[in-house]
Amino acid sequence: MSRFLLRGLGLLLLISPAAIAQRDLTDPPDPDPKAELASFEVLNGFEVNLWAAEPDVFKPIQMNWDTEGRLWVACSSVYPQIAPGQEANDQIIVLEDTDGDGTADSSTVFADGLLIPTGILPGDGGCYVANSTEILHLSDTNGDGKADTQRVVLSGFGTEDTHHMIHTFRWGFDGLFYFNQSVYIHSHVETPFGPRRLGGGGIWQYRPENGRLEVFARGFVNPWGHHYDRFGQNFATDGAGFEGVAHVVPGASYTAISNPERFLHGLNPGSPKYCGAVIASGRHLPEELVGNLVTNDFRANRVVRFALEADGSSYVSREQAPLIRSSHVGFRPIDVLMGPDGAIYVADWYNPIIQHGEVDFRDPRRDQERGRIWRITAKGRPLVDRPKLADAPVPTLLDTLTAPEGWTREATRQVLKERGPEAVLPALTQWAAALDPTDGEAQLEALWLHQSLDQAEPALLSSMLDADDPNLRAAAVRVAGAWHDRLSDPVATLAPLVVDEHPRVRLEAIRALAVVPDPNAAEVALRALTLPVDPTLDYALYLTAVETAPLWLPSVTEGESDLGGAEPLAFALLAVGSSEVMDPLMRLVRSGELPERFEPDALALIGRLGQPDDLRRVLDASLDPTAPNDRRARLLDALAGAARERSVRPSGALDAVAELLGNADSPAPVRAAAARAAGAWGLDPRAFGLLDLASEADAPVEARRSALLALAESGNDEARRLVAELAASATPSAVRTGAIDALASFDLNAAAAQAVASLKEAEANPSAIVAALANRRGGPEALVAALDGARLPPDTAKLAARAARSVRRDDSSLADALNRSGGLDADPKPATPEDVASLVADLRMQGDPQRGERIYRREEMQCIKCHAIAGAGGKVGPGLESIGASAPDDYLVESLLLPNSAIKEGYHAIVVATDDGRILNGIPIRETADQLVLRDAEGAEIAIPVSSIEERALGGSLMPTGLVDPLTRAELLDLTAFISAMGEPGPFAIGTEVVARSWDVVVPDGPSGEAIRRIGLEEAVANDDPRFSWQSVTSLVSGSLPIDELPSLTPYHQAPPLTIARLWFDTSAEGPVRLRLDSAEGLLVWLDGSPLDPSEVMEPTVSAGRHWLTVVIDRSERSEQGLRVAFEDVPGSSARAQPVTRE
Amino acid sequence: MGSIPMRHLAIALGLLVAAAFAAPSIRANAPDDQAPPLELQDGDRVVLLGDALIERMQQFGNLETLLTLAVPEKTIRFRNLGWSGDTVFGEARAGFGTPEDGFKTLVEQVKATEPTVLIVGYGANESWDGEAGLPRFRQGYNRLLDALEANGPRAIVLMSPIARRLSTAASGEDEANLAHYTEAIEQIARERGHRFVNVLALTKPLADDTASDSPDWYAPQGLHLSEQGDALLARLVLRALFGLKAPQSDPEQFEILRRAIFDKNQLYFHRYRPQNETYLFGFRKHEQGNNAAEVERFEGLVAAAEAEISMLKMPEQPVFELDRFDEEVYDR
Repeated sequence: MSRFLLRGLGLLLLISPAAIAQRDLTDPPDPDPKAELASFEVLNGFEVNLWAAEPDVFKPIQMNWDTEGRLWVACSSVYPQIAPGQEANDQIIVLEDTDGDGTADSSTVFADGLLIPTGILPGDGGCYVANSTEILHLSDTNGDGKADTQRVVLSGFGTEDTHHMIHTFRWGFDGLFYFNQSVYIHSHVETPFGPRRLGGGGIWQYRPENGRLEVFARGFVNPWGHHYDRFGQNFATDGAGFEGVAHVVPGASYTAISNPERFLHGLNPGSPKYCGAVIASGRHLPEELVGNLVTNDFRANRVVRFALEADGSSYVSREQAPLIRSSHVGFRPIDVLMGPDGAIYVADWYNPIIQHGEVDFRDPRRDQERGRIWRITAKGRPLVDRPKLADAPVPTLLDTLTAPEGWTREATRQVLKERGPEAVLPALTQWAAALDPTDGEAQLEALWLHQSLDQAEPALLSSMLDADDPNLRAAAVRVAGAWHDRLSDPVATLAPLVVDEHPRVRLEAIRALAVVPDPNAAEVALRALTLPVDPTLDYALYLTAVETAPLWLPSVTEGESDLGGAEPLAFALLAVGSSEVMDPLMRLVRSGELPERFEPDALALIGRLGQPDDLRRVLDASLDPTAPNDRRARLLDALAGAARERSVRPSGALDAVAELLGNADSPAPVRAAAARAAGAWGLDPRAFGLLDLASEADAPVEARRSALLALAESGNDEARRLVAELAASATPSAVRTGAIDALASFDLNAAAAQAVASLKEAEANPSAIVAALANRRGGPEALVAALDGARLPPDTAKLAARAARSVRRDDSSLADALNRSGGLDADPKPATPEDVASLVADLRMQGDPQRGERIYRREEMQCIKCHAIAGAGGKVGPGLESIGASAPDDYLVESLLLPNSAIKEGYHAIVVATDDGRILNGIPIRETADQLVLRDAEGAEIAIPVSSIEERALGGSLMPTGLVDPLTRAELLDLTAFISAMGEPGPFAIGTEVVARSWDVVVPDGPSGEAIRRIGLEEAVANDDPRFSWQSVTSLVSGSLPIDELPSLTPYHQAPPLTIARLWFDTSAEGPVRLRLDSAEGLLVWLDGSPLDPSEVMEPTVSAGRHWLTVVIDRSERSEQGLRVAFEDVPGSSARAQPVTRE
Repeated sequence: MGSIPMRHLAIALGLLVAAAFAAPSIRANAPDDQAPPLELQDGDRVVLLGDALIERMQQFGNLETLLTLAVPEKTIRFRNLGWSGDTVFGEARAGFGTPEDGFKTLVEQVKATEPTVLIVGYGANESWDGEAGLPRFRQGYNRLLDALEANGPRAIVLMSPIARRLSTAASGEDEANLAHYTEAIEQIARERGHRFVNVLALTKPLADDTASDSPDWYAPQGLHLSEQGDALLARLVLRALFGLKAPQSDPEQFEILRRAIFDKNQLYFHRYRPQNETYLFGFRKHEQGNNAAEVERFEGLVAAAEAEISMLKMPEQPVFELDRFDEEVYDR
């Protein structure tokens, strides 16, 4: 510690007092709880007091209350990693406020000797503890307040990452024990129902009484928050995902690193990461907080909250003003609960360092001893009396189940469950019978208590399934699914609920049917297709169809069932999408009854799996000139894939392809795809027009490049001669580069020679040329040889060397050779620790974040291409919206200068060698049994057949080293200052407002101008004229689109310059939405192609679905200021606008 | 509380003593009629490999403590490689890799321990696949043994799964499955000339012993043994496999030794199965790989703990007595 203080002291002399208040890694925060409390900006009407602090509690990881109002806290000083010789002596500490004065006055160590306990849950006469690979149950048999007995409850949980190990222990409303695990963990658990395995993240569900363990939901990155609302709808937060609050549907998968084919998203895409979750409730809190989900933006030192509102079958989640904001870098709220007194309790892990892997495990600045529990209360509102439940008689407890406080209801359920069925059932039956039939919430408690006690009560269930309130029906459906094996006819019971008038009831019924082992369950679930299907319902139907396939597919294959009609049949077959469904699918296609909306997916599937006659249908569909171009291209690519991967070609003559290839009027993407297909089929290059296409000067570049690859693939001598010729001479240079790429597939040395020649040309694209060689085995070596003695323009050499480094990180010989030929020194020396320290020391004083944001946005910096801020920007690298608040300055500087030194979860590239000699570098985002999908440095998805992979190895970061080399030191300081300000309180924090951040603007090219001249601006905009080409732009962090950065278009001589911009938003229900503009000056506005009167506040009524808003900016009237469009909910309207990035 | 293990070891000890009287005899167990008892040699490295049954032995420590005390004059080292949920395919050890990587890891882990005596306990997890899974299980087990035999232990012992006392509806079917898998393991042992311990038969009386005054031989739900169950199984295996009677030692000394063995096993666990593998050895080792050296330092700590164990195991006055089993209790 002394070393650290010394360094800090040295820096104190350099840094201004203002900077000291900021978080700087070498600038330790004042650890006094008073100083921390003083840093809190608390929501109006609330106050915060210190409830407990070290040494009474330390490094809290999770906390949970017992039914007597004592707070159990899992505390770990061993985290992040046990050291040799260190005793694993982490603790479970029990805190209690015995005198009710609002602070804990009793702290006892219930258990020690633990190894990084990541979960704690009191219950069943003791507590459950996550202890590394195991869940233990500890109990105190002699009443001295300390555990004396332990038993392993479950074992086999993974420990690949100690901040991912099982965590977030919770009792459910159903009496089940829920817990979460995170993305790096692979668990293999033996249960009395067979082994259960989960690799990756998810939420487990466990019934201690019978040992049944199941996966309740899958996915997430690091989901340390899970709670449920008044009606048993589950919500989760993710401490490493960027989608805010997730509405958890049973059995669903959520956004993780590598995702299944389909999955659900969180409700707040583009959010910071959140830890902990509790639904606020009770009389102490003002009305506007009740029902909010409270969680922690631990990176930006905030306790935040979201209002959840029903929206179709799911919810919208809107961030509200935060409960606590702080600039104290040690304040790390990581868990949050409602307390027995109705206040909100926050566990503060207190640590200036939160990075798990990125900062050394042994970094002395990691705090190992502190920790606080803060209590948030509403000023001037009475607290609730802490309920006394332990000795209360059963009838009293039953009455307590209707308390307005969620805490009280949860604790009461737990007490009743532990009393056992014999003690509770008689009174429960009596209590339920005496309930006011209109008191649905009390009846729901009665139903849940039966579930908790594992005592089916079909009569009560059946009346609840009939309740007027859809929230109650949805809750009852969940119970019906759990009791399916105890209901006389579960499918008949659930059938009417599949077509319930409320979409969330339908959602629950669709998912409940997935667990009913009845061949008719799927057919009944698919009846939901007769009513409107929103995206969540569509996913639920997909999941149920896939999960129940073993039950329905055999009878469908035998022709004994059609699942109720062509519509449900097509839906279910395409959901499964495997070779097993091909027979029934082809029957459906041949019958002519395949509903039109399924045709694109059906054809794509047939292309992937069909036989020659099936493929013929796909080919014919691709030839239809009235079909959309991208779809025609997709079908042709599916056919090319079938030929390459399965050696299956369409039956019949392929002459029509020659027609497509040779016709100058064929749309470019279709022509290019036809060339790829022709290559895959090995068609004669001359007869099918590939030779002509490759040399046709006016043909689209994309089509010519595809033709060149097909020529190379043909192996035909004449074809290859043409490839070699064009590699030497083709114009434009993009075609020449394509020819070099094609040439490299059969003659590396010739390709390397042409690459060097081409690099000397002024218009060359160095990175594309380097990639053509470097992405092939032996390519870099050939290029190094060809560079011997060559001279390149220095700028070209610099860009080429950068490209070489990003594809071949482990070997600098190509980059060195490129530098030499440009007369440059070898690669700039990698930054040293001293370089990093010197920048860190200066950035707070000398860096200007405003200027830095403009540097961040420069096209050549490529920051936006790869990183998103609040969802706007690229997906190659991690989102940066709260990076400044979470990462210390030296980490940020180091990441810019040395991108490979620390890489975020989910952003590790892999390098794949394929059997056709290619080397591909990208982040794996999806892998199925037959396909691996990588996201490359351009953000494009590359699908690789698993069968073609010869080797895979770990890559590093996709961020090229040397990206910031062109910047001056002052610019680098500005850029770093901007990044480090992001997410900190101030102008670079993402607020709670819903603002459009992703835009498209029209590129000022010839065709765009022509469109306006031909049909007029209004007509062109209203029809989204296809001659417009669009480029994406993002707003500033403030949400404002900087007009001065946008391209402008002058359609006529002397016409005012214009900028045409557009954004997209989704609504899941019909109704008015409110758009708020900073100013309407100089704007014309269209919504879905219809003009709107421009004004600062507009309230159009929209249907459910996707919408586009086009704004034409008259640059002569408006050029300096920005353009900002915010979305607000209209009271009483069920439409909720959510801006989206168009894929 | 001082330490959890110490405390519940003490509880178990009382039960262990009780078990000497209440325990079923092992008459139901068909004794291995071909192979003579396995004799431990000075310098032996006994490696236990398998699923949760084996994994939990590293905490219970009963078999290891009994063996250590039974032949105190010999230096024998024990390594426990049990892993919950594991199978002959090494499924639970795959981490981020493919199932095949799990198998490779399993073989490498065994190899690293250089076993001279290898005790293998698989089949419990595989048995859930029922009769349909038997051919794959046989094939997998043989492939595993091909790899393990190549490591050259002088003796390999195959243990069947334990009997289970499930309350689930399918418990009858489960019993049949366990019998099938046990039979398969026995057959593989015979074919390959390895010793076999029919733990299913040894524990069947425990599973059937549901008398209200009997100890809880099983953990709740009847899938795994309780601490008492493990203590009894240790004695049964000691006799069935090694032909040894449980040494009559001072209970306090037994517990001190068992505690030392527990500590040693924990240290070895940190060595062979460290937390944060992703950062220390895996695809994020560029971040924390510099700390991987720490993990090797556990080897020295394990050696020190073993030195401690060899001090603790020597009885002041070695006294061996015959172990008595109450046939009558057993037969009821």
